[in-house]
Amino acid sequence: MTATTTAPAEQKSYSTFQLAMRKLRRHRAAMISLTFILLITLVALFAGVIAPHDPNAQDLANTYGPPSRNFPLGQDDLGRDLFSRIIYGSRISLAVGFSVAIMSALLGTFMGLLSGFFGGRTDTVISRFIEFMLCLPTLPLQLVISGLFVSSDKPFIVNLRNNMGPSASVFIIISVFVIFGWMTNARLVRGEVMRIRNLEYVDAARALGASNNRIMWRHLVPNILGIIIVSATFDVGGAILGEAALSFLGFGIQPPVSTWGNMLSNAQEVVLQYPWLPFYPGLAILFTVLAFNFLGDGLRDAFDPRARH
Amino acid sequence: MLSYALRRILQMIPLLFVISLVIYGLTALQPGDPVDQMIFGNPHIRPEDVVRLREAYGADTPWFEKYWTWLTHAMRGDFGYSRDFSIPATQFIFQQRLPNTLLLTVPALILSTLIAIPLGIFSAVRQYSLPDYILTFLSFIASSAPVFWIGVMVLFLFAVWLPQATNGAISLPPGGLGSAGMDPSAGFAAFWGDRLKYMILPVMVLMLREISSTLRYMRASFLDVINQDFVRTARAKGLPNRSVIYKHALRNSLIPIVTILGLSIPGLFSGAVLTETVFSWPGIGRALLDSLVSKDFNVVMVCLMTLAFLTVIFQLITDLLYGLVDPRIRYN
Amino acid sequence: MKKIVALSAFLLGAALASPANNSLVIGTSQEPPNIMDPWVTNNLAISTEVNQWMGAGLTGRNNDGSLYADIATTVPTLANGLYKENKSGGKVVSNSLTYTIRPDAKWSDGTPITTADFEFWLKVELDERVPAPQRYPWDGAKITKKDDKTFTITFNPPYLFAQVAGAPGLAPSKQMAAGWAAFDSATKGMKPGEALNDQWTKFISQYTTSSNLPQVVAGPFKPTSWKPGNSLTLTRNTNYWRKPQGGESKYIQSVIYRFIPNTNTLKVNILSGQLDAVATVGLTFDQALDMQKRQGNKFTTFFAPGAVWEHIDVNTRGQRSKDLGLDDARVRQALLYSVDRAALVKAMFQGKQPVSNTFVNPLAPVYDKDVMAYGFDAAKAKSLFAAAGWKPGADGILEKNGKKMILNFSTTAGNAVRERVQQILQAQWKAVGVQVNIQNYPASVFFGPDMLSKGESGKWDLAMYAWSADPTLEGGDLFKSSAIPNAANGYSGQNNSGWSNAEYSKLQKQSETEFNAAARSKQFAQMQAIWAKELPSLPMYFRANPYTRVNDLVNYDMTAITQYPTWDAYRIGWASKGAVSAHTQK
Repeated sequence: MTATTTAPAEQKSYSTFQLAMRKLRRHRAAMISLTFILLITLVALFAGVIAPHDPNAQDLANTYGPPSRNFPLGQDDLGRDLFSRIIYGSRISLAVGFSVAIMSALLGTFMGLLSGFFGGRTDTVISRFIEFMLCLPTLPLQLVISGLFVSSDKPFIVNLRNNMGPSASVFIIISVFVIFGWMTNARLVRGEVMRIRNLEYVDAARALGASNNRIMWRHLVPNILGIIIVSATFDVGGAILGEAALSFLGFGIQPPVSTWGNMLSNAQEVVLQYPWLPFYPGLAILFTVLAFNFLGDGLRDAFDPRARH
Repeated sequence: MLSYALRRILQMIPLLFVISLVIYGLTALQPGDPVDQMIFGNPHIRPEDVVRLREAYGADTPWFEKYWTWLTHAMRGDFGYSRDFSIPATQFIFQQRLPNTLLLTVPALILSTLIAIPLGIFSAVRQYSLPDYILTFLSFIASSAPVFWIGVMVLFLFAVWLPQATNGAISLPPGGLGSAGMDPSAGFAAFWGDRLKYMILPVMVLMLREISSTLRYMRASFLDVINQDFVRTARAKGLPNRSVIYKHALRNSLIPIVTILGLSIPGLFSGAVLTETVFSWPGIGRALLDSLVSKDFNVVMVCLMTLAFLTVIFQLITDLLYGLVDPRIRYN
Repeated sequence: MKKIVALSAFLLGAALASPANNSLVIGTSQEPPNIMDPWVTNNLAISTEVNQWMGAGLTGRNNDGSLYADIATTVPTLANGLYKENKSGGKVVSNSLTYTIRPDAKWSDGTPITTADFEFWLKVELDERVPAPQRYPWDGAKITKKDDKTFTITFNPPYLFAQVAGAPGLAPSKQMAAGWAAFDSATKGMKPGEALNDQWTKFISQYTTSSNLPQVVAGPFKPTSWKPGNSLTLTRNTNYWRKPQGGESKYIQSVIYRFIPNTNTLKVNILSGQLDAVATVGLTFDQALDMQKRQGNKFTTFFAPGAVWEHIDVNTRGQRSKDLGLDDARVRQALLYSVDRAALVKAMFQGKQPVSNTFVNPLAPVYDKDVMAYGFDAAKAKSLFAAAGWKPGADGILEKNGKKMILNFSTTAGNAVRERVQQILQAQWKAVGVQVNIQNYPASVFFGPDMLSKGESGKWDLAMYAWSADPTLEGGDLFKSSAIPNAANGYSGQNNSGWSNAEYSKLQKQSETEFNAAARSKQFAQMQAIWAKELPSLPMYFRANPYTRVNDLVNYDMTAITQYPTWDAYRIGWASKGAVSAHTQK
C-alpha cells in the first residue's frame, strides 16, 4: 500500500481529493455537520437581515422577559432580544473558535512534527521551549498586556486603543489563544510521530527517496489526524468560552457587543433566578463543537487511504 | 536512556532559572500595587501617606532587584511570608491549600482515567454505532457546560431539591470542606465520612470534564492505531485471538493518553479555580489566582515554581514512558 | 423551572430549624486575611465586619450616629468638660479628650485594660517602621497619662472630628511586649522597604492569623478556631463588661463565619437552611433582590443605606478634554441632563439605591438637601450642547470644529452592575448625539498608576467607580485643587477629574478648621452648590448594603453610620431564646 500511494504523486493528487470528497459525501454525520456549519456561517454573515431585532435595543420595563412571540428566546438583563443577540454573537464566537482551533492545530502540528521527526537538537530546543511556555502563567501576562494598552504612548498602541473596534479585539484574542494554546497539540503530535516514524511504511517511503517534507505531511500526519482533530475540537469550545474571560482584561470584546461567551458569563450571576439563560448560548456552543467534531471525523476518514468506509 | 535522563535533568536547571525570572518579572510588571488599592479604598489618605506606604511596601524598587533578593533567600530555603495572609508562603501553600486540592484532583483524575479509557476503546471499536454517537454527544455536553452552571445546578439539586423531594433521605452539603466543628479528633471514620460527603459533588464535576477529554483522545488514538498496517495485517492473517490484537493496539494507542496525563498531572497541583470557587473548596487554584492579582510575590513564586518544576519533571517522565509503551521509541 | 422557583420559596419558609445551642452561622463571600490587627494594616470591609464581634473601643457610635461609652466610663463632651477646645485669637489651636477606663474593663484573659494599652497602640501607630495606612489624625496626637485608668489625648493641630472619632485604639501591650521588643531590635536603623515590611509581617502574624489566633481581645467574643478557607468560630467572652438585658446566656454564645466565595453557592446555602444570616460582604444586589422576592416568613432581606458613592468622573484636563468640550461645565451639565437616572435606579435597583445629587452622603451632617438636582431633560441637554457649540452632524453625532463627540467610557471590567449601568447610559447619550464607546479594564489596571490619575494625557474621558467614606467625617477633600494628581505630588491626589475651582478650594480649606457646626454646614452648602453647578463628576447613586437574616435574630442591623450589622455584637441574639430587641433595621 505504501508504495502505491507514494509513487505517482503529483498527477494523482487531484483524484485523491476527488476520492476523498466522494467519501466525505457518503459520511452522513459529516455532511449534516458541514451543512450546519455553512448555515451558521451564513447566519453570522447576514445577521443584520436575519435577526428580528436590533441586538442592542433595550427595554428596561421587560428585563429578563420570558419567551414570547416577539422575543422567541426571551429577553436579557437589559430587556434585549436574546435571539438576536445569539445571532449577532455568532460572528465573533465562530471567528474566534474556528480560527483558534485551526491555527493552533497547524502551529502545534508543525512544531510537534519537527520535534518528533528530527529528534536530537531540534527536539531539545523545541521541547524546552514548550516546557517554558507551559510554565508561563497566562493571567499576569495578559494583565501586563492590558496595562500596556493603557500606559503605552507608542503610536501603534495609541492607535489600537483609540480605534479598538471588535475586529482589532478579535485579532488580539485569537493571537493570545494561539500563542498559549499550541503546546498540547505539539506534545501530542511529537509523541505520536516518535512512535510511527520507525514503522515499516515510513522506512519504505524513505527508501523510495521521499523527502522529509513529504514523509512528514503525507505519511505521518494522516496517521495521527484523529488526535489532532480531537484536540482542535476541544479548542473550538475552549476558545468560544474563554473569549469572555479575556474581555475582562480590557483588550477583549467590550459591551454592548454580544458573543456566546459573554452571554454565558453574564448569565452567571443570575443562574439561580434564571437557570435557562445560559442554555441558549450553551446549546449554540455545543452544536458548533459537535458539528466541528463530526466534520473532523468525516474528513479524517475521507483522507485516510485505509479507512473502512 | 539513563544518560538521556541525566542530560534532561541538567537542562532543567537553567530552564527553571529562566522560568523563575520570567514569572517574577511578569508578576511585577502587572499594573497596580498594594498602595494603589489603599488609595482607592480610603478617600482620607494623604499624599505623604502615599509616599510613606510606597517606600514601606517597596513599591518603587526595581523588580530585578526584588527578584535577586527573592532568589538569594530562596536558595537558602527562605521563601518569605505571604503579604496577604501574614504567614510563611510555604506553610500557606503546602500545609493549608495543597492537601485540599489533592483531595479533589487526585481521585478525580484516577477515577476518570479508569472510566474513560475503556469507554474510549468501546467507542472506537463500535465506531459510528448508536452507543458511540451517544458517548460523543454526552462528552461534548460535559465539556461545553460551564462549571459555574453545572456546579450550581448540582448543588441546588443535591443540597436543596433532593433533600426536600426525598424528605432528607438524599442530601449532600452545599459546598465547603467539612461540617463546622468537625476535625480529626472526632475519630477517623467520622472525620473522613464527613469529608467524603463534601468531596462527592466537586469530584464529580471535575470528573465530567476529564472523562470527556480522555475519552475523546482514547477513541481517536485507538482508531488511528487499529487502522494501521500491522493491525490490519494481523487481522488479515486471521489472527485467531481478537484480544491479542486489541492488546497490541491498546499499547500503541496509549501514547496520546500518556501525553495528556503528563500534561495534566502538574495541573493536579494547580487546582481547578472554578470548581474550587463554586464548591467553596479552599484549594490552591484560588490561592494562586488571588495572589497573582494582589501581587503577593512570595506565594506566587512558591506556587508557580512548584508547578514549573512538576511540569518539567513530568515532561521528562512522559518521554521516558513513551519508551516503555513503545520500545521502538529511542532517544539518542 | 417555575417549579423550582416555587419550591425554593416554599423551602425558605420551612427549612430553617431554630438553632438549638444559641449559635449563629453567617455566610460571607470573602475570607478576612487576618483579624484583630489593632493597626488595621489591611482595611478590608470583611475584616472590619468580623472584628466588630471581638473588638471594643473607648466609645462607639450607634445607628443614628450618637456616641455611647464602652471601655470609657463616660463620653467626653464640651458640656461635661471632658472634651476641650483650646482657643487662641478666636481660633481653635488644639483640642483634647479625657477618658477614664471602666474599672471592670478587662481583656479576655482577665487582665485589666489600662492606659498603657492605649499608649502602646499610639506609639506603634506612629512608629516610622510601621506601615499603618493612614497616620492622620494621630500624627498630631499625644497621650498624657494621669494614672492607670485615666488619660488625656491632645490633638495639636486640632482634629476637627475629635469628638466623634478621636478615641485612640488599643492593643494588648503586655501580651505584645515581647514581640514588639523583638521587632524593635531586629529593625533598628533599617530603611523602609520590603525587608522591614517582612519583619512587621512576622510581628503582626503572631497575633492575627489563622495559625496564630488573637489570644486576648477586648470585645464580647473571642476567636476559638479558624479553618483557613472554610470557617471561623467565635465564642462568647465572659470577661466582657457590658451585659445585655436579661443576661448574656439568653444571647448568641457562638458565631461561625462560613467562607463561600461564589455568591450563587452562598444562595444555595441559604436555600438549604445552612445559614442564619449573610454578611454585608455576600450577596450581590441582584441576588438580594431575588432573595427578597422569594423570602418566606423565616427570612428577610434588607437594603440598608450605604456609604458608598457611585459616580462618573469626567476628565477635565488635557488637550483631548478640551477638544471634546469636557472642560466646559455646560457640556458636563448637558451630559447629566440627558440621562434618566431616576428611571435607571428604578429599573435596575427598584429604587433601593437612590439617585445622588452631590458627593455628600444624605446622612452626613453637612449634607445640603436643597442642592441643585438634575432631572432628565433632553431638550435642555440639547440646548446646553448647542450653547457650547456642539451641533448634530449628518450622522446625528454632535460636532464642533470638525471634531465629533465620541467619548471613551471606562470602569472596572467584570462588574455586572456597572456594565449594565454603562450600557443604559450609552443608549441614552446616543439619543442626544453623544457616541460613547465602552472600554473597561481589570481593576488593577483601572486603579493602577497609568489610568485615572493620568487624565492630563487623555487616557480616559468618563470613568465610573465609587468612593466609600464615613458620612460623619465628610471633609470635601476629593475635589480640592491641591488633590489633583500630578507629577509634583507623585500622582497621589484623588481629584481625578482634575477639576480646579478656587472658590471651592478656599471654602474647603476654611472648613478644615471650622469647629462651629453651623458655620461649617454653611460652607458646605456653598461648596455643594458650586460643585453641583460645575459637575466635575456625574453623581449616580449611593449604594445600598443588602444582607439577609432569619427574622428571629435581633439587633443585627445597621445604617450608613454603623456600616456593619455586627456593630452591637454583645446584644445579638435569638428572640425565641429570650434576646431583647434594642433596635431594628429601618
